[in-house]
Amino acid sequence: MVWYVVQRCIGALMTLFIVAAVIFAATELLPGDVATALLGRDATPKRLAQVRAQLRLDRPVSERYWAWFGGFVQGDWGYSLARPNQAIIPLVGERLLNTMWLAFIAASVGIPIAIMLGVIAGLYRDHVPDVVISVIALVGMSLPEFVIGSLLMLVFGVMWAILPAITIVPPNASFGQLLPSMILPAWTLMIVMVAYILRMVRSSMIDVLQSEYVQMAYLKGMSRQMVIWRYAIPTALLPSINAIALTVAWLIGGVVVVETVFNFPGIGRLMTAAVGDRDLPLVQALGLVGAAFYIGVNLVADIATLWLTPRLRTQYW
Amino acid sequence: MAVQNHSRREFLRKVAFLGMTSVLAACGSMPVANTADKPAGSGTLRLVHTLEWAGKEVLSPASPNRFFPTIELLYNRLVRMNEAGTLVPELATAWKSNEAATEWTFTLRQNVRFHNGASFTAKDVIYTLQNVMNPAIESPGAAVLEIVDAKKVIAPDDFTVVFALKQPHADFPLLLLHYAMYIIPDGIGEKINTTGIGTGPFKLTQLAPEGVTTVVANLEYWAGKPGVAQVDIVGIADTEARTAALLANQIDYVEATSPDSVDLIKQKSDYKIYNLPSGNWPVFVMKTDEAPFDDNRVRMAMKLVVDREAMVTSVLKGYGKVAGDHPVWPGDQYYLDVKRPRDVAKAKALLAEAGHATGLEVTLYTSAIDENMIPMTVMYKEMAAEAGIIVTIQQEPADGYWNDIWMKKPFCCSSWGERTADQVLNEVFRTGATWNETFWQNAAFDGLLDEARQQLDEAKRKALYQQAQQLLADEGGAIIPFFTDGLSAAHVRVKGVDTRYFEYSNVTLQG
Repeated sequence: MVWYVVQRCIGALMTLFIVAAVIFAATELLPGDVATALLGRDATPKRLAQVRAQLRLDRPVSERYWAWFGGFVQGDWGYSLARPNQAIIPLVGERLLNTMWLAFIAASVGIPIAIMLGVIAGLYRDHVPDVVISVIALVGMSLPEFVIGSLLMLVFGVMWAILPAITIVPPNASFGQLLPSMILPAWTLMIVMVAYILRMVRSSMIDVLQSEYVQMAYLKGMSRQMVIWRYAIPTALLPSINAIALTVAWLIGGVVVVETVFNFPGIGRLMTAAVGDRDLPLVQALGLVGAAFYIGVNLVADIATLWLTPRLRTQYW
Repeated sequence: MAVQNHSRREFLRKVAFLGMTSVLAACGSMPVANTADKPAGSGTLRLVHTLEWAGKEVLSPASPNRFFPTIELLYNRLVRMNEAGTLVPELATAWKSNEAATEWTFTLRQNVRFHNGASFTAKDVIYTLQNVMNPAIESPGAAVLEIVDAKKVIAPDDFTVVFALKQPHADFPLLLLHYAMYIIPDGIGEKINTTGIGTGPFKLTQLAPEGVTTVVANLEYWAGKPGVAQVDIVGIADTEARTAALLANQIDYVEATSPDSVDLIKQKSDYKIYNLPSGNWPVFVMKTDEAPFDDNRVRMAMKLVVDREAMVTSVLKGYGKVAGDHPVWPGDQYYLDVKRPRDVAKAKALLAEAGHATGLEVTLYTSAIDENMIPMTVMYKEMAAEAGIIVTIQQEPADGYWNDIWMKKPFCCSSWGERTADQVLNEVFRTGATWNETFWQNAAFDGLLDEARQQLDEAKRKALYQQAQQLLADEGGAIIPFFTDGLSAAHVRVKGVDTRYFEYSNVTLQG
């Protein structure tokens, strides 16, 4: 078990390493180079040379990669280009915290609801509750985040005006100041997330209910409640752990759109701004943070699955 | 060294040359009455800014990442533009030049105080200019004010400043409209970035570019008490989010909104749309030093195929003004209305004359870098086809467009913001200018511009600039179909935002 966890951690680090190389390579593939992208129409030869020297673009690619990755590992993420004299770590840190709050609220409310609805849908397969839940879930899945966000904003922010439509507090605001503005974006994320998870839970619930040991439990005369709570639900949830992990990891990507729509001061909006400004050190840093989060969540999910599955546990013990 | 000391009669003759503006100023009738009886305004006006610098906005007007529109609330310039498009006094009360237009003397307003209590004097003007010219500041205003010999700007007394210029410039006061020339106090240094101490109608109380920045009314403002008690400036980067914030009553006024947002806002009766002309111009650029565009008959044919009204209707949804292939916008005092109606027959004839009787094939490079470029390009292709010009559209990514396509390919799209006549003609069309995107070389045109700069007689100067516009429209390499309008939207209770050069100190809230 310990060895397995160590193995998975090493694998995660390797993945991060590869992702870093890909992120770096992608920014190298820009038409022209970073300096021309940054300067646009002001790209006079003198300014170009200045910016290239400043960004060390005059150095070989391999040297720059190691300097960048080495710095990243040691906690020196460099400075933002578009925001003069702004170190990247505090810039990202402040906003990452806000995004984490948003994701945490969405996940902590959304996951229990999703599981509950998924279980109900699975139990009442093809009956009214299932049809209603499934149709709503399908709608939630098929509408893009920005449509759901705009609809919620229109209803609760504009028509009834009971919640702030747009976030107008700065990134360093306290949790209390941020909270009212977090409700609508968190809700938007939740709707999309719940739809995915509940469909996964529903189908594994259906599988489990048809399995032989559940049939057996019924034949032995166990009550329906006992069967569902003791045997069906715990087993059905296991395959859902990975779906939940994927969805939580998706949250980090989903926030880019949702934060932009709601003007929420998190890393999603920072990413949009950084891409718009061609602020490449910041884009690279945010790319790596996102990748690290994704890999981390999946690692946790793998270990949790292992922990909760006796069969796997003995195999690797 | 000649700060001129004319008799009154001579002086009046002289200022008559400088136009109505200076006459008003010289006679001492202040356009903004110092109304102590005007009651202090109430209420909070909530504005929005676009987070252009993503949170690194500073209050130094000279800085590249200056914080609009907050700086307009905190500071004053020496001069400002009135609705007629002419200069009127602000912190300067009068100005005049020597005969050669190389030395300009500004008389300053007295009894004006900065927010920190210090009196405004000539020292502050000199400091502001030196700050703009300081290479370490990297101010966008430095290039515009380069014509000033910064070492020779002197203050004969506390309320007079004399600017010595490197070359004559009859419209030098126009250059002082640049936002970098918002006056800051002498010796303030870096502190200006966060304190925002100016002479303007509002004083800073809280700076938070990514949240809500607040300023309160300056009750000692020299031009009278502002129309509202407080102004909040909210940072929202996304255009649609700004529209939503307006409709959700989180802000009161939005500038530079999109035609699509306008359609949405229009549906609500509580809001008003203000459609104000601007001098922003997208353009099809023909490189005049490359075939086939080195032949003016071809260039003229390419211009004649455009149905400009149709482009305004389709591309801009009507929010724009037809242009005639020169970049001086209708609001400019030197604007020349060049009519260029569509004439396919004439275009065909010109092409035949130039040896393209069987048709002409060109590739037009475009990009989504400006929202109007692609729709314009598609319409141009259709219009040109009727004259036998086969246009192949080549769409390029926005990244690298300015570097790899613009000023490299013979036929491409470009786009510019509003500039004054003198500035735009010199920066974009003069022989050898860095941004001469059409590579047009016309000695007569350059000569007209030089002559205009030295011509102190306003009527004659206007005639020279207009000749230059006509020449450019007839022979230049730019196809300029329209100027776009600036769209803004406000809640109906906001009064005083309906004009192009409105001042925030005059905005009031009703009901």
